[in-house]
Amino acid sequence: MSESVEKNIQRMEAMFRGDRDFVVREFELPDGTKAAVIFIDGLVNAKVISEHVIKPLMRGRPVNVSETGSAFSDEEAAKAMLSGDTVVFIDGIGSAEYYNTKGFPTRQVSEPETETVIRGPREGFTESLQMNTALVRRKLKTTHLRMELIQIGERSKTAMCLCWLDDVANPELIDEVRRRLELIDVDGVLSSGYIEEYIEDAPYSVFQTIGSTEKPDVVAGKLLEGRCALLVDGTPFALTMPMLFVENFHSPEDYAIRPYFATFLRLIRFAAFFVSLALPAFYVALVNFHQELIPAPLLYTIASASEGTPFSLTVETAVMLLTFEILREAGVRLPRPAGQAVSIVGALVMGQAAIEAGVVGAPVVIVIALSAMSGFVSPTASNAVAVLRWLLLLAASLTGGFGLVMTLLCVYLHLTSLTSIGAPYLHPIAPLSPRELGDTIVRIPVEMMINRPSPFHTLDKRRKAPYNRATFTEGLPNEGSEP
Amino acid sequence: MKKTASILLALCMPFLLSGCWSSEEITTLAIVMGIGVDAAADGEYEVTVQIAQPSNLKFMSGGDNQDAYFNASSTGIGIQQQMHQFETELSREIYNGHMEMIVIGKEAAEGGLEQIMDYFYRESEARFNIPIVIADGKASDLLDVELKLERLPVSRLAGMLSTNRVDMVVRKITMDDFLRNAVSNSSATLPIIEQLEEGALETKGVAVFDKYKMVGELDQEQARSMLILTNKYGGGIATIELPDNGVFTFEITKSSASVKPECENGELSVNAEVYLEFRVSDVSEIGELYSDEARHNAEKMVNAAMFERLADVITRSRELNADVFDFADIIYCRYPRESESSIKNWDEEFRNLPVSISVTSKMYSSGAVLKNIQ
Repeated sequence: MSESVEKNIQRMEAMFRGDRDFVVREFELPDGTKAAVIFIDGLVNAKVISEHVIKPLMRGRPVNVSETGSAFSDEEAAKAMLSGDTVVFIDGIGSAEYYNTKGFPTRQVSEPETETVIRGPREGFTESLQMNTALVRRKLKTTHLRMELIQIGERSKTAMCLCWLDDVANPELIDEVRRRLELIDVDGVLSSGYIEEYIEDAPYSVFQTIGSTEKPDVVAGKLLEGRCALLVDGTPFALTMPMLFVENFHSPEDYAIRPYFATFLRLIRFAAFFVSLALPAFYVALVNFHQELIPAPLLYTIASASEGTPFSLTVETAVMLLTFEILREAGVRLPRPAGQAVSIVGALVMGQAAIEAGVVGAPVVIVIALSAMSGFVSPTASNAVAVLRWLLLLAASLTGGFGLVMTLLCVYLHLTSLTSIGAPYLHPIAPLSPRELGDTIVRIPVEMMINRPSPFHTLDKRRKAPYNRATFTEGLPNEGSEP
Repeated sequence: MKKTASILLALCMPFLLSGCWSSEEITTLAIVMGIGVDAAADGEYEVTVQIAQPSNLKFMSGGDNQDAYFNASSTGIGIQQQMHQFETELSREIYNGHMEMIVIGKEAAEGGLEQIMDYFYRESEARFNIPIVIADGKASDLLDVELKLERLPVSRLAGMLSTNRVDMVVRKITMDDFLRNAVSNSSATLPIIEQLEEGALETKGVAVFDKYKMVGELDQEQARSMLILTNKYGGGIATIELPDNGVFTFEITKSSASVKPECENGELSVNAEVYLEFRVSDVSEIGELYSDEARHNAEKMVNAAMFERLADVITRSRELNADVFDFADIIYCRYPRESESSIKNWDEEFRNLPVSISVTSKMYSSGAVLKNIQ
């Protein structure tokens, strides 16, 4: 770097090639030395620059900005500018100072669109990494919360923050995640989904093996279990890893309602997963291959509905399934008001009309609708389900119940073979660890959840001390009695 | 890569090569609800199938009074051949998986059921737990019986045989029960359903079989006694005629029989102890039933009447030369060595087998009244 302000500015201007948002402000210090501030318009808070950087400098006072640093090369200076800092050149000094004047527009913390809860925290992550780390910090006020800044993306230079509790999480897990992150060599990281695929154990599986959440309280919960989380700048979704299969059926709400009801809901989610996955295939297998398994009155209903429909049952089912997927996709991508119109046309008009016109039988529509509805119960598992459903349908239509069971078995085998950053994906179902089933399909009372999940090999195995109810006082003092 | 491709190909094989094996579109099936077999001339059979018409069975279309079924008949040798005939005629595959009942004409039963049962035994679709009944007359007539509450004649017939009916005189015998009894030393029985005038149905009694051949009938009272002795009676109404033209009607609520074989000096005999519980249903004239004495008298009367009826069925079965009580099996289980020679010649033995019966009963309720209305 040169000692001359003008030369420095020229070089910086050359680097940015006259970009419109590249701003240079030249001024003089009280002793007449030439100085200049450069920054990128839009990423900075202009008021901070004029009040707390330029004004003190012109009056010969120290700059009062919270975060400062020195840049000794053009690249360092440019990097600082691009993240919203203001760079100051002063004649006669061979380095540049930069001050934190970040002030770019961010979205306010709002309720997450996904993972809505009735009872429980409503705040969600935003696109700003800074805000997100703050949200996590506010949940875990411990000095053991580590937040390591990593930058990935040759051109996007996306900042991301690896969070973990250093007295809980296994250091080997953190090292492994860090190592995988460092191996990434990519142009740009525009959302956390990019990272997810890179660091997964099984990137080609239909199941996602890294969790993502929009809620800081969920991240805090996962960190407390000995996992780590990755907050990516520009994405309101944090990645949590390792992930277990059962997490697909959990909701943060589960811990805010009575254990019985939470267990009931989890059972429903599990059931819905299977219904969504296998119902169309099961229906085809039953009706085409195993009619004897259908109760007689139901068989009459099915038979009377399919009387006169032009296509085979398999084709009917496939067409209805495809229609549903198209409708869903259209509904999701369209602006919300139009999306509603699409669902009305799709659901009411098409479904009803198709039956009345005799193109498809009513039971098929019921089956597809039930399968589709069930798919929405566990949204994270639904994209795997949407793909596997077709596979099962194919197998069932060709080989009936036998094919269906065999294919389900293959899916199960695949699930058992999956790992998520080393942790067995199907824990605690396979390998079975009965002691840890308490918070999987069922939800035991919170006071019974003493230990952290074992597959994460946490440093601190125990979550809390057993709660001693024996010390409770029997009753409140009676009215009128002396205290 | 090559390896992966070949593994994938191998995995696809079972699905692709199977090529929808045994897949059957439901619209190509003729769902058989019931089947009737009658004897025809020259040892041929007249087979009647009751086929559901699902579009008329629909619950939504309650208004129209179209039949939810139709019966098709065909006569020829054997049953399988007629089934194929129906398939050709209806251009649909005959599907027996939901069959509710097999009805066999009396004449066909008297001619022997070997061939008919053999068909159902070999046939893989029909279940073994479907009931078989004998029609007192033609099976095809019974399959055309007037519908009352049900939408299919077979449903009405099957409903009659449900075991939990209040007045149980006959028991539902499934294909499995029948075959098991037919191959054993004891005799199989099947309920007989009679069609009265104006579409009423009645269980007339049971048909008694020697192996597969129907050899005679037991009337209602005998059928009930048989059930009591075989410990399969669930309860029902019984009537005793009083000397002065009155009746004493009681409901048997519990019945248990313990049949004990005995063997003394190689002489086999059977000792049956029957215990009944009953409550009084309606009585023409008997005075009060409150006192211990009256109660005792009523019990004595029931004991005597029931003893007579039980003895009657034993006499009748000896006449028919048919051990409908499973005595052969009971004896063989207890005295396998001693009875070995007798079992071989059971028909003869059964006729001379001493059977002693004792009946005890207990009246536990006279209903809500203590005295009958004077």
